[in-house]
Amino acid sequence: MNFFGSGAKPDPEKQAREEASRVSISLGGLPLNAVDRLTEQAKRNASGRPFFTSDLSPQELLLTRECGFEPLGQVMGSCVFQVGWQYLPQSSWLYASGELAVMSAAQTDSRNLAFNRLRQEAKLLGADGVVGVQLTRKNSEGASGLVEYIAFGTAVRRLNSPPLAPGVEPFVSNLSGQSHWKLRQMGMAPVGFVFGTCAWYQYPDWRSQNLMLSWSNGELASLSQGMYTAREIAMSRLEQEAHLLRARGVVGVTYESHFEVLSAQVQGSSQNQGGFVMHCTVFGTAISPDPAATGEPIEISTNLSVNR
Amino acid sequence: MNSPYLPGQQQGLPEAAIRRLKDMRGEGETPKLFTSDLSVNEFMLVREAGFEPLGLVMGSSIYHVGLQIANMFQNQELDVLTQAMYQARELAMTRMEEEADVLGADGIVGVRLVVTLQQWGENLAEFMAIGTAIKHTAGGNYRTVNNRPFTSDLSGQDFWTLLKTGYRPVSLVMGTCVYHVAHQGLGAAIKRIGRNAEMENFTQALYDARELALSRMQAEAEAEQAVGIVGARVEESNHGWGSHVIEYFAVGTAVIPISDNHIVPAPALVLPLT
Repeated sequence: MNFFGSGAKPDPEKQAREEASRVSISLGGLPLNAVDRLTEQAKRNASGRPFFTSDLSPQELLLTRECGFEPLGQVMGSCVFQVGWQYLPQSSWLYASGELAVMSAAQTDSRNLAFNRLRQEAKLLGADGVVGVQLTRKNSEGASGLVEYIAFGTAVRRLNSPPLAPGVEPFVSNLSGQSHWKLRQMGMAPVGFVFGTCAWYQYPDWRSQNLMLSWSNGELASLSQGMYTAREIAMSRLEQEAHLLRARGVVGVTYESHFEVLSAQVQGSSQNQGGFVMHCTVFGTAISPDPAATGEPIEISTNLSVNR
Repeated sequence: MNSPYLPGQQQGLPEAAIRRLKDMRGEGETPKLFTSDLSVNEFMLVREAGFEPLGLVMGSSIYHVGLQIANMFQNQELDVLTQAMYQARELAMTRMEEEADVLGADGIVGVRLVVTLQQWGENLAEFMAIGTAIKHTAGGNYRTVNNRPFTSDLSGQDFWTLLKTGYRPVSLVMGTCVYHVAHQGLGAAIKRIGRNAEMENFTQALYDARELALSRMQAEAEAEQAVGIVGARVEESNHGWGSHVIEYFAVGTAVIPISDNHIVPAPALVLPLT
């Protein structure tokens, strides 16, 4: 950047390229540098002198190959997202409960954008899927914060099989090579990474409010109810995604939930409205029977390590 | 204590949860689907043991823990707090079992009990029980004596091993005790000044509290007609009640025998090269 007008003029070609990258990103696509790197790598792979990058450990590499996949390259997708203004649910009754749709959508949309980019990168390499995906989320609390989702993984291609038909998305899996191999022994394969999230605003009813001010034990039923609602919405979103992938089941579900107090000024009064925000996020790996997997009977024997 | 649990009851569950769980059984418009927090290893071993996962089940309760003032110079159990900690966990466990019932499960493995106390006071805590509901593919009775689904905090690996040794889990049993440890009086402090000495007062208090928690856990296991408890442990936590109030929480899996043969093949010795 040139602030003071001294020195060389900005390179118009570079500027145009940056602008094009921004346009691509705003359409949910990849920056040009990533596209170039991956097309270059795809060309190289096709030229008969393949070269791959991957974060697989040697064991994982071995087992991934055993499963009939070859690694093509490390791919990623990321998205920095601003969570918009969230108004509290309103109705004729002043203290209403409801989903904080802006907050929920921010999490879902930014995760989807990151995953779409991951899949686009994989497709540029001609991959059938991405394995060992690590999803990280960084966010700052509060309604006006930023959320960043970053997904990293290794793009893989099925050995001796035709490339994916146009319109077919590569699968995404967060399982290690070891887990893939074991699933294969059971006649199963991962079909996707599924996700569900919900932010729910719950206003405690008078019963709960009284209890909070008292000295006695008791369940805050309306808050439990709010937590349940948040979870039900998140879980059904995860299940919906699994159904879309025609999955038989979901393994390794990670369940995260917490709640926080939200004090907000009520319009037209000096009173503070003390409600609770229930956050719930679930994600896991959808699996399905795989016709290509042999599904041999498993033999398990017990053994003791003599290492220590 | 809570009202007795009736198998098949769904009183703690919101309607949305019941509907979703029924859909997961494949009775609604959507095809059958299971969810589970089992890792691939656990999934494999649970299947090897003859069970299939049905769904991730959870029970949750947000609870207001009451207040109790202890006599500063007296060792005593704070029964209001004990009751709160027990009852809230029991609520969460029961709801989880109800969800497993809706799924038609035999029981729940990998149960985790999580307590999150809010740091900002108001004495609010979230109690959560979460696990994977499973069912034997060939049928058979794996429920408890009261026909509740079995519960266990064993991992898939431990579950497989336990079944191989001729036992099955019946119930995740727990006992809790919140105890106030007396401050030592000025006279006692002066007497001990500069000397090596056992703090009998403190020893006794911690002993008592642990004993109470353990005996409550054992009583639960005996009520389930179990022959023993595996993986028992006593967790010690303070939940922000000040330095002299401690919760002892004893938890383990009660087991009953399914065969007279408790011998496993001798394990092979291996030297891992990693």
